[in-house]
Amino acid sequence: MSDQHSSLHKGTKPASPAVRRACAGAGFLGRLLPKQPAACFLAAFLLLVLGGIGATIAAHVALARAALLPPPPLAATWCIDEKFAFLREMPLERFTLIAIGSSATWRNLDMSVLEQRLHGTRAINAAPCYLHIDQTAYMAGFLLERMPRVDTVLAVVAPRDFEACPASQRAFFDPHLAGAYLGGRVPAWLPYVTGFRPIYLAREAIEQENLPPGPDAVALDGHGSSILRKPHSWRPAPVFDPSCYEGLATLEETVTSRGARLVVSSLPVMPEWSERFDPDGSLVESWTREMRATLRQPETLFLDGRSLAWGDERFADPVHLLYPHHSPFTDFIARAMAGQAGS
Amino acid sequence: MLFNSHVFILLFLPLTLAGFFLLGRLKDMRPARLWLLTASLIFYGWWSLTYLGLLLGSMLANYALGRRIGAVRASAPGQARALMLLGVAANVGLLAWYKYAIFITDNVAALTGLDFAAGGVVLPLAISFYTFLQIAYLVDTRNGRAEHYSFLDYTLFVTFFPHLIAGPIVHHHELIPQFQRPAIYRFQPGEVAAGIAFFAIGLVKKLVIADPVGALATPVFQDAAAVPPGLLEAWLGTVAFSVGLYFDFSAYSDMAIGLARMFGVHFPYNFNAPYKATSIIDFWRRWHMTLSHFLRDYVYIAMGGSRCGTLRRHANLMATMLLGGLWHGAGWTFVIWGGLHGAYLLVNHGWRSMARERPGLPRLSAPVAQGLTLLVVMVAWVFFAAPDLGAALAVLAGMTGLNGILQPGTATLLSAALQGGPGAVVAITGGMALLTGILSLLILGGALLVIFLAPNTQEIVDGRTAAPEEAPRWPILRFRPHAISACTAAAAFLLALALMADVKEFVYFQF
Repeated sequence: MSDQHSSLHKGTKPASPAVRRACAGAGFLGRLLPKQPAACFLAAFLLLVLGGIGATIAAHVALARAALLPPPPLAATWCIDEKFAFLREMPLERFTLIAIGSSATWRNLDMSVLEQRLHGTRAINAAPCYLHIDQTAYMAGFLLERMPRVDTVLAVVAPRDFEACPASQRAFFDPHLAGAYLGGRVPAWLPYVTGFRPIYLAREAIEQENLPPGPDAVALDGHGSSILRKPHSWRPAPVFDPSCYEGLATLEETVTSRGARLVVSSLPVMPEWSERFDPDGSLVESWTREMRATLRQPETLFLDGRSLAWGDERFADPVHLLYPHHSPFTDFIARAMAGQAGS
Repeated sequence: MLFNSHVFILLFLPLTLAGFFLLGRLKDMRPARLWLLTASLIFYGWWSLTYLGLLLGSMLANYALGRRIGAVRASAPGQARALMLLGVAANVGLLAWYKYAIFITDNVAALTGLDFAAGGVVLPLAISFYTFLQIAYLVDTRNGRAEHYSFLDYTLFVTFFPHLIAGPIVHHHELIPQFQRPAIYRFQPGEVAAGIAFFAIGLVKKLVIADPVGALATPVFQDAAAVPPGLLEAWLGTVAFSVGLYFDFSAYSDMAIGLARMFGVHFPYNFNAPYKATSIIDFWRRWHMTLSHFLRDYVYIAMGGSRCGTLRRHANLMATMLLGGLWHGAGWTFVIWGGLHGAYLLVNHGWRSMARERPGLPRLSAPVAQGLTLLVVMVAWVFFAAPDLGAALAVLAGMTGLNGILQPGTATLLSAALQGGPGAVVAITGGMALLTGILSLLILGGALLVIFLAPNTQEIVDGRTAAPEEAPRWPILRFRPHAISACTAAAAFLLALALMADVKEFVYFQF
């Protein structure tokens, strides 16, 4: 220890000529700083770090003023963060039905139809985008803790929800921070600090000019749904990860353990996609069978979207319906739910 | 709370430092010490208030036992010994319950078919470290090597936040006397500057090197049992894990040393260029040095060390290394890792004895000895990194070429790159994945150069070379507090803040 302690006082020695030159060599900064070397170091370090933090704050403020600042980066993905920002503004404790899932849920439901068909229901579409079914279960558990009156959880699924469910990607946001953010216990700017990623910020600022899509591209229902108005050329090839069925089982367990019922509806199949990737329909058939086998609770309702044999003109792409065809699709779900409730 | 988190760097540390030095201006040093203790308890309680209670209970019991042992040591040595043994057993029992209950019951269940339902036991953060500190305190008290400390000093020694979670293992006789020095309560710019330098180097090592390099190894080991790695993937994964673990853990040690230094407290160094070791004995003098010292002083010597003949010495050494392996994790892979190192040490000691007896025996040149040491260390790391025995064997098979040169996926990527250039690879992996992969490989290459060519953190900041006879190298890198080094430290700090969003826990937190 004695050798280590010998270095203890090096900072308090008078500055050597070399050190003085180094401090002076820092130009204007050097003239501002104390001449004692360690104090000079600390003052310069503090100034620079505070300056860097100040510059970062200024950049955020400038981006916000230019309406180029992405939503608070809880998941560093625009459409997920935007949904969190939306949910923060909502009285979560008042809703009785939530829709949760990937963009198959976000972009295919007419929440007002659900409220009309199911009397007394207050519905919100809490689905963001990109989620695989295990991530949907993760987010559903998180939200249900904060929404005590929810008695129904609705998820619209497409094969893409079952593409890959690695455990390492399941917890896609920090529940403590997101909980405090949704509950208003932390200021809205805090996620910009904890989630500061300069490259993401720059990329999103560049892309923000096109985000969110304008009213000619999407229709918003004020309940969290966002329906596509234009067709897309995206045709994802079907890939299934068997571990995703465990994710579906977890979703069911999460929902039923909180006294709510789960409603899962698959989307109608887009004929063009089916002809290309699943001409005999065996892939979707097998996927549907697996889902039915996974869902075991008697109160869970599974709806097979294939009973709606719709043409390509109703689809924006295989995972999203075109406005206004989301309304009859939602009506299909709502009728079945009302029928189950009545029986 | 992690050292590499915003809440720690931007809130906890500045407030703790400011409060400590403000209270340090008082004549009485206790308020500053109490402040530091409170901050340390908040630091731990941030993880779990329940287990903060366990930590407090453990400290209270050990302190009371230590006082009793100290009181009867001279008058009733037998009672002191019995109390010490009781304390050690209780500490080991507590650690065994929290750390090994699941491992033991799983193995018993596998043998007997009985289910003990111990799956709900949670491993309290830092329990391995604070148990060791307190065992050492009890043993030292019984042996007359401990003073009569106040409860405030004792609890501050155990919980002092820079070392609490993942070491270095700092003993009561190293730390408490420093808390009693009035000098540490005065703001010392030189100490704080050196602390910042240590901390900034640690941050960069963790965020710029350890995390991306470690990410190269993770899929190789995690998927090894299902998708056996080829020669290339197995070696890449093993080298990346070896480099990533070194930078991860030494980064934590640097940060811990730096944080303590900001408060004027000096911790022992914990790493000393371990991959430059020329033998396994040398490796254990350089890797996790404070743990090696603990195992030597409180396990190996306590079991008899080399005092009871060669055979017993070998058995003691092997038992010490097996326990060291088990301390790192409750799993057979860690036991095998410890056993391998025990076997290496036995071979090393045997070779040394033979060389002493036969002076004419040819000696390995330093580079060959260094290469051989590194090779066997990496082979042992395979067991440390693998999630289970099957994965470890699959990686070892890959390293020997039994799984072919490449996995089919890697071969497809390579073939696409050769035929269609980077664009073809992007079409398969996506641009971001390719960029991240290339960047991580470049960082791995740079990290290897740093390991073998660059000086240690303690050499950079304190001027301490890896070996006493070694001449200082790279004088340009030697830290001297002035405006230009402040620019470098601030740049490193800001870079770390920019990389901190995707924060990863330190590997040693699980031990």
